[in-house]
Amino acid sequence: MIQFDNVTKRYGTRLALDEVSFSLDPAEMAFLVGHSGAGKSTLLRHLVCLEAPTEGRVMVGNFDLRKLSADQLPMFRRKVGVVFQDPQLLSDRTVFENVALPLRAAGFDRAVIPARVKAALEQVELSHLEQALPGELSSGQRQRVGIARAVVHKPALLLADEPTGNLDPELSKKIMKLFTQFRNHGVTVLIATHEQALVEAQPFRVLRLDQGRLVESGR
Amino acid sequence: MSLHGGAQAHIEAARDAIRRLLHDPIRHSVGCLVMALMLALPGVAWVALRGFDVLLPVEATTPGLSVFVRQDVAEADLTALADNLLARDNILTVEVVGRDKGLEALSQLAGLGDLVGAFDENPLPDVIRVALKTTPGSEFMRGLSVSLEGDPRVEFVRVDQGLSNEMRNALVLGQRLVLVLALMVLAAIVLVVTGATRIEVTRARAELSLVDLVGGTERYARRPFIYMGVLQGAAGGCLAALFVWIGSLLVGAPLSRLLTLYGESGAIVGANALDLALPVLAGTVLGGVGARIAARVPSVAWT
Repeated sequence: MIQFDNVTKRYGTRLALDEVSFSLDPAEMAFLVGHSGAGKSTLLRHLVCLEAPTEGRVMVGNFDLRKLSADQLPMFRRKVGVVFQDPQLLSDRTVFENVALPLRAAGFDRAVIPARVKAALEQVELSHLEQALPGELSSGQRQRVGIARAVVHKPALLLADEPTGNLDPELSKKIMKLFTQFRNHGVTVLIATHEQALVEAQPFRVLRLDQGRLVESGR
Repeated sequence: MSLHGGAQAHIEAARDAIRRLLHDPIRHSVGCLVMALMLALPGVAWVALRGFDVLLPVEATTPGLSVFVRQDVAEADLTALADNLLARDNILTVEVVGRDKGLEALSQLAGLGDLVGAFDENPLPDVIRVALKTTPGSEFMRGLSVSLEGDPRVEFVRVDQGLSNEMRNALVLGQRLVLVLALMVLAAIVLVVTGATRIEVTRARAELSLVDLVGGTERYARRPFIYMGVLQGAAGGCLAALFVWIGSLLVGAPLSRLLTLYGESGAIVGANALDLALPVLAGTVLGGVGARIAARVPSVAWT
């Protein structure tokens, strides 16, 4: 599903990624770990074409990300879901409208949007809050809305950048359980985190970055 | 995208635009009002100038001569003189205004009826009004004037080109100034809408980043902002049309009174359908153009 081939990324003289190579199979779940500044977010940004490698190649599914045209880029991004540490909800829109955003942006028929949104909210157990505004939610609820928004369009790849960074351990476990469920439904999941305890509690593969280099790739 | 899907996308973009406009109604209303005032200014000026255009009857703006004939000239000689003039080159029309007709016209002028009644006999001469095909002040005009003044049947000749010609030139100048003003205003409106849309895009930066990240096309992201510009422009244009209409009523009444004094009673001075439609059209198009220039989607933020 994901293939990094000798990917190097430089910002001027600073090396953010140094010849990183790894692959993830479809429906595989993995953790991307490392200290702050190790290159986790940079690697994830490559997977949604927010960055282009200085050298090397990134493949996602059948897409060679270097060769995507401007017209193909939105089509590619519709196959990816992204969860941020701060869920970046639109404060003046209801939970329903926030979750519906990817469907509207992708031009889904209006008639199918409510059912898809409700299904996504049921997955994160927030059906009862669909008309609430983000300001009325707890941080755990906001994060779950962010996850519902990331999966509502049924992506093949789910990326999460420090998804539990603002949550207590109990909520973090719940969020991890959700990611495992998505993986069980065939979604490839890559989670960047610096929470070692969280990673150790899960039976999935770990990709460890240190100063831009991939120093560990296994369990 | 299917036809239905395309229409749905536009409907949603228009709804989104309305939602954004209603989110800050005071700011957007002020924007519309500024646009309306800017559009109305050249509109009202144009309508007023057109009123002055009506004020200048065609015969008054055509270069010509008024030939005042001696009192003792017989009617047959008068007709012969007129026929002789009409037979010449560069003569557009020749009209004989008999002394009785002249007196009648004079008595109809406001305030002069009593004065005319005080005369025992008609003091006015017969007049031949000659309209020329040449330009005012031409060699032909001067030559004809000198030649007629040498005619024993003629008392004197008046060249009719002074005031009306100056007014015509002033009117043309005024119309040009209004045109320049209109062009400047149109450019200013595009800039106003561009600035307002840019502010709106900057405010929606987080949302646009998300739209980009979840696979929304740039067209999808830009569309609501373009609709905002179009709707604001149309609203400003409608307000401008209202201002032009009110302005034409205010200017029209005194102009109509002035026209009556010049014997042009019944002339319509005011805004017509085109005068009212133009600001709406201009506002809508310029709003769309300004918004289109400004509605560039910012790069994706990842935090």
